Amino acid sequence: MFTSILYIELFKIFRRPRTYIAFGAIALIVLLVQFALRVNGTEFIRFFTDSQADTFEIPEQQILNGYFVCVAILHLILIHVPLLVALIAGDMIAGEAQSGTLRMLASQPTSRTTLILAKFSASTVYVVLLLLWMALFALFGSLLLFGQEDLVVFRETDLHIISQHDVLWRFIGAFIYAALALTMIASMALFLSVYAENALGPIVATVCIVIVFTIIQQLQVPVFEQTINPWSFTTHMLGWKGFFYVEKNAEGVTIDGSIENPVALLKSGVILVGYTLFFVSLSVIGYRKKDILC
Amino acid sequence: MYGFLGQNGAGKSTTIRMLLTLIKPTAGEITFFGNSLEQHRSAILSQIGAIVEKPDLYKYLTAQEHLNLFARFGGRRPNHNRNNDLLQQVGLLERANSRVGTYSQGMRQRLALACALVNDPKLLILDEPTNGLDPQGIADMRQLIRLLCKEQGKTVIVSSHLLSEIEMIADRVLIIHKGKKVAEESMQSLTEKASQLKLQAVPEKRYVLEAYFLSLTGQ
Repeated sequence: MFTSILYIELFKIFRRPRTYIAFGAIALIVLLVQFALRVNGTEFIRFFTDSQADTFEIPEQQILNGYFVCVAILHLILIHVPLLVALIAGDMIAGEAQSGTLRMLASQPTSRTTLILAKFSASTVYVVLLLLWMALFALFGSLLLFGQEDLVVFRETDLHIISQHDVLWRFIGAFIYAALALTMIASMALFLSVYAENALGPIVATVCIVIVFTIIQQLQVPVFEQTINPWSFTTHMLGWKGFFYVEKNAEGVTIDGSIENPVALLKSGVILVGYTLFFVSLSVIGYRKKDILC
Repeated sequence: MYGFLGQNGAGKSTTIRMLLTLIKPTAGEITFFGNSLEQHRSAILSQIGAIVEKPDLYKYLTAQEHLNLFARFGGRRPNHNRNNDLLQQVGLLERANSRVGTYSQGMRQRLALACALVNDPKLLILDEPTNGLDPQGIADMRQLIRLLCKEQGKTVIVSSHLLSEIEMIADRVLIIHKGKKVAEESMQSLTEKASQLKLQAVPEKRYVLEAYFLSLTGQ
């Protein structure tokens, strides 16, 4: 029964024109960034290399390769993708309530738990497809346009050079991690959707929550750093960057196949999964108790 | 055919929502086919087709797609021929592949009925099925409901605040007032009782229910 309901939910998602806004937006943004880096990429690179001029010997043209462009794109757009996820997940229950179709859904023989889990699973499939789409454009498109070289990752006072043979699995890891983070956002939007009868409410609320916690995180106020930030989902959503921070040996050479802080990466992943389970459980409980009056 | 009557706000829709598990009763137990709704929800609802108030459908889907969707909800494989039969029955075959967003209210009502029938339910619950329809639409819907009862042997519960509608189609009537059942009679027995009321407002058969209803609700 669950697979039938999941099929129905996916069918509804992908029959709606609104769904394709996200795919179109991602393709457009990625192409814009690629165009900008193609035209003015060396200036962009110089912005990072100038601060490390004493130690830097790699030519800008070599740094500006497909892998580097993909990392730049992920930095730029992953923070905005929650909006696109909220657009679908926030609409899941509230949108049906607003359009009056929730009555029909809830009077079907399917249990409410099955229905809400199918809706959550459909949102997850949407998130994964969105990220695969992004990977197609941002990674493979950039490799086609900019070629393949070693990846240089700039940090505040340091840089990591990752061999091109050691990069692909890191991108796979980063995309899987991004899927975890965005699934968590989908679960939060779904939870808000259960308690709303207007689709706009949960979508806007999800985006506002992400913005508020991002601001709290960026303020770097000691009291927030000690209390909220270690547990804030926005802190852990950026954990995908950990795949590109590599361990170095005594000579300062990066070690292939290593991750600088795998424990922190794992911890962030567990926290995101914890949030997801928490919001999905609340959604199930809320929806099971919900009186459908609209 | 079972008529479910009451004024606006009497509790008809609330009752129907409870029957369809959209809201939980604060007290009491609902049983269908001899089984408790709470304990056998899925088994019971798979034998019930329903329209609750104004049927809102997915505007971006076609009639065929709606029927496929509801067939899957009932655990069936979508069947194109069966869908066409149903659409023929409700007079929508020619618009089978048009998006519901392009349908009139009457067409949506008829498609909702087809959706309610797609899993061949034993019982149909129709909440105000003629609401928002023009006179021709009301007549068509009435005809369709009669057909389902007489030719397909389905039990149909129709709720309405339109006494004349119920009077024309129901075999048995339940009247509620302020959330409480005030009468449950066959139409025949109701007609007899109403004539005994000796009310002036019973000049011909089509006013019988109205007279009886008004006497029960103290108006």
